[in-house]
Amino acid sequence: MKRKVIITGLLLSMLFLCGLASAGWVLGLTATQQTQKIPTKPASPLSVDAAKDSDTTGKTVAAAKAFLATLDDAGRAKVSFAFDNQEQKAKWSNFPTGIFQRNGLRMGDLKPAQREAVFNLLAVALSKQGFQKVKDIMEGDEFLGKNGGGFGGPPGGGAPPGAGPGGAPPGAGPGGGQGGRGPGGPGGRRLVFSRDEYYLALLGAPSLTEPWMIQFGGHHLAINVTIAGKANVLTPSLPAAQPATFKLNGETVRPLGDEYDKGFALINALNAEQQKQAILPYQVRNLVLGAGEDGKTIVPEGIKVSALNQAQQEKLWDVVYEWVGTLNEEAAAAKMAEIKANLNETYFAWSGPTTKGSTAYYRVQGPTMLIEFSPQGDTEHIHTIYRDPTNDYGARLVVKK
Amino acid sequence: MKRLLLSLLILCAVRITTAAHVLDQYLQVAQIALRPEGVRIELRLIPGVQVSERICALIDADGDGQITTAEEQTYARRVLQDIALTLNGLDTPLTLSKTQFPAKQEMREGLGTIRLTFVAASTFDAAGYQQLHFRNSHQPELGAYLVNALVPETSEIKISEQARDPLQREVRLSFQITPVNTGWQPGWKSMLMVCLCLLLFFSHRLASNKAWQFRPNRGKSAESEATVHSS
Repeated sequence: MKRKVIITGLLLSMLFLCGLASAGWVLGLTATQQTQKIPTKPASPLSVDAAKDSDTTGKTVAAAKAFLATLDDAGRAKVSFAFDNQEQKAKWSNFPTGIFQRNGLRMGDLKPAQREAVFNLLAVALSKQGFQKVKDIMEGDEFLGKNGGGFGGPPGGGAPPGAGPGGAPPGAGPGGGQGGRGPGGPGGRRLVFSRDEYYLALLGAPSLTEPWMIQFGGHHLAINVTIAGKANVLTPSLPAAQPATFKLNGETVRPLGDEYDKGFALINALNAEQQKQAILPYQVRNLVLGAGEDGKTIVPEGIKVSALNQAQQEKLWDVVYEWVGTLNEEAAAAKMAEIKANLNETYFAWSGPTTKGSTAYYRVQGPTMLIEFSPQGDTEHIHTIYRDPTNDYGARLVVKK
Repeated sequence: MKRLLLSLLILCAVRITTAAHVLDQYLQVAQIALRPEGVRIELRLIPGVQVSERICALIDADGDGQITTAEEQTYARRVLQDIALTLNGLDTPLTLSKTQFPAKQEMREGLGTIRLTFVAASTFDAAGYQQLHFRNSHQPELGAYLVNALVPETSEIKISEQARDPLQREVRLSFQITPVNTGWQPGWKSMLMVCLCLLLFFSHRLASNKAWQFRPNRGKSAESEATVHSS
């Protein structure tokens, strides 16, 4: 009798367990597993075709090989890194030398023909306007170096303004001399501002089929072009400027002038109700996802682009193209198509006054793009960032074999 | 003359920029990650060069010019005291999970970033609409603040709204927990435990019963057998 009770109890417990499993357990556990398998930001591999000699990748490969041919073995070793060197991929910054030491070959250490080859590589990989922006940012740094730098500090700093050897007059060609050194911080660290203080690194070997990367940067500039077959990716990249306006050969140069002007044109094209949605009721003093913030996605804010009319949307795409269009036209067109396809999930946010001439922050964010424009206290010092949370460093790209 | 004036203007612009750069502020960037296992807050603290001595002095508690690991930990705990988190109106304790300090020299020069990570191990048991409030009151006289929620890595949590004060010292996050993963969990886990206990209990009883039956064959001592039989 006793035994029967025990066995019955055992069976009942098992039955109850089975019931639970079919209801709660299955529901709960499988849901957890599913959400782990399906992340919020799917980053499935993106299959791309191998490149040909005749397309943009082919020309970029040829330009990179031509540059490498100008170097000796030591130079090639210094400029070359493994493509999967994650540390090197992330080794970029808005800071100048003295705060942040880049790897690769320094422009100021190259011979004129080698510098020319570097510029030729950038000219092929980037668009005409993108290449011009890069040169303008470099010239801005040269100007900054000659005018005391942007990091004034108490005594005990580095050399006086313009003390760099061989300082070239404004307007001298790239590599014409070293702009100068900022006063430095209290500890005497020397901050170098010069068009010579930009570095090139190549990750992986230039190839039509295997992924590789061009990394070019210095103070206020980080260009990361990942190339995998026909696909070219420019994220993450950081174009910035200080001063944002300067004179070169009698011409006024504004490296990020269009970004500023078009941003204000857009916010002022919105009606009062739209502005209410777009303008954030708080100040934004810096980039949220600047250098060192890889792999993060913030919750988007502001007005949905789908709430804008056609003309307003055109203005927004015009703003976006200022960053996307830094890359060569072929790749930029593909990227713009992808961004526009995500219109319903793209947001525009603004912080600050809307009167042109004032200092304001703005952000455009979609599933495959984040752009931030962030003045650093006033309109003469601007930081920006361009990211693709799903494909920074071309993480999604796989070349078809 | 005109050219000279223009050059002076540009030079002034650069100087103004220098003065207006956030060198005189203590930038504090908070990023909040909501995860099923709890809340994680990463705080990046970047003292500008003009305030870095004050921050170094705060960390270097004994004023000997050196910053020890113990002093770093003490400072991190001080920051912890200055931040507050509530979940659905209830104070939620944060614990210091990770610290990373730059060299003192870097900090003095306004180049260093202090990274502190805090976690609140409060699992989101209840499904539905919830609210989180975070406030950073660290060094308000020097601070410039940024606070943002990161997109949750799981689709079970959806952030619907971020409301901040104008200085970004505090934020209120409204978010939704999907019912499928939460409402059931505590209930069925407890039930499962009860059933397992029952199963163990009955198994034990059954085993004891069997043991009683087979014990005479296990070569036990006569004394113990006698004891069993007598029971």
